[in-house]
Amino acid sequence: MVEPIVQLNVDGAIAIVVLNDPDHRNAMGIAMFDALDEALGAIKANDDVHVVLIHGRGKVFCAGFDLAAAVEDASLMGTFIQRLSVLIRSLRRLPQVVVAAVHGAAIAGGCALVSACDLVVVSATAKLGYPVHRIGASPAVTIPTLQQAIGPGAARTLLMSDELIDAPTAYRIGLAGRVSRDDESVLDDAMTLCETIARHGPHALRTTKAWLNELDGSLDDERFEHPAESSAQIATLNEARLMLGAYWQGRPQT
Amino acid sequence: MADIVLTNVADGIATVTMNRPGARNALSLELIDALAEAIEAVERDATVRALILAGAGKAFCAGMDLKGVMADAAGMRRMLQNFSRVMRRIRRLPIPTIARVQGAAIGGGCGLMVVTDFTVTHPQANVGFPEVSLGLCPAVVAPWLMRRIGSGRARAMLLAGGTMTGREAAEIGLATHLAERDRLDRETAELARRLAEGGPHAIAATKRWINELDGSLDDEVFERGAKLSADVLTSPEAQSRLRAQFGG
Repeated sequence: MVEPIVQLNVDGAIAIVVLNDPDHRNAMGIAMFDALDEALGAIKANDDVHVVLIHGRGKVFCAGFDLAAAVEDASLMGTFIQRLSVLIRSLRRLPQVVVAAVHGAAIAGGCALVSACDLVVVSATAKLGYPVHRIGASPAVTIPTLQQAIGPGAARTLLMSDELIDAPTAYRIGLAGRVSRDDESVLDDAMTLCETIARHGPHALRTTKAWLNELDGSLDDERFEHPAESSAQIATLNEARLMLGAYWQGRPQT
Repeated sequence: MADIVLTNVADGIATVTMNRPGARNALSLELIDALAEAIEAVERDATVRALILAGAGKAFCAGMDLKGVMADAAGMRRMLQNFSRVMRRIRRLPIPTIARVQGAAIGGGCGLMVVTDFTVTHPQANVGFPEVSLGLCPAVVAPWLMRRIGSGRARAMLLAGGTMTGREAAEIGLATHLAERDRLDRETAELARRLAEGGPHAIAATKRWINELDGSLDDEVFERGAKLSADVLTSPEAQSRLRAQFGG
């Protein structure tokens, strides 16, 4: 039997969403977006679930978009960006509290996912960031949630640097709220946090999250749509196509 | 009976002290209203150049005193509304304000700690917003917390509940200054003295502009926050959790 690309396990008040494509470093392609949308839809409809844990199987949390597919079909980058914009809004607006457990790396689209979660636990050895200008892509789709997560000044530095940051830096700027000892302990630590949250008043949690969403602009579609549209547009340019092709050809073979 | 709020003005510095040490300065309606009066008096006193907000006894403030209004939905609403108003009044004072936090600042007490311009605490203090564990919603303080530590950290803190140490609070910017417990009063006074030296018109203009930029003058948001907290507080979930807590 083929394993699903996203696993959803509901155990009482806690739903666990697993990015389950370890051979491709949990890269996000159409199948992954479809499966995540479906999982979040099921969680949203389940009033017994109060907290959601999201993590990745294999060596990394998520390496970003499925670039192999985008090299084959140049129109896909724009599609991925639009799908990601919808996905991060769904995560942010899920009535339940969302906790990310990040090990290995959360890169580009993977880091955008992280920025949309309510609480983030990272492994001490994890790397995060948006090194995408080098492939001619703009990470603007993450700006609405990244600015809220770390403030506009730090968001500017992180996005313009085109570099990955380490876990202590992620903690210092507020992208991560907790740092776990290593890749092995991050899931347990995040689970403990989920168990604590699951004991809180569910009505109080939902009201608090909805209020925070209202206060920080998470319900304002325009804030999300505009950067997604413009970076999808950039992805159709020749610059993007050529740089992605060159990057893909020259990438280290693993 | 001693006054529930004490005000002392010396050398241009007003110290407003919540004075219910036996109840860890829990915010009763009476205390909230007395605090509002004291802040109003500071506002009117043109000789005051800085404010220290303090709590008498072992704790700065243990949060809202819900026990007194448990059976009184209208009382709870009034309490949250008045609390929201006094926080706005503190925020909009044209002088620098400092919360001097010893022992504990919990829930609404932690709200008072983040609405001021500065917060001095000591490494072992216990501060935070455990509201959600009691089925309560910290909506009334959320806008102020976001302005102090940013929306991402505020989100994580309010949804996870619990408390943290003064040292951790200083690390994430929840407190602006850290002093050893036995030096807390002295270092807070020193900070106030330094701040009071600035040109009062310049300080008032700067503060007014920061308040305008960060939405601190937007009454509608704060009224909504107070109402949301009151709505949740009077809900069955909160009432049953509070009864379990208070043994009522």
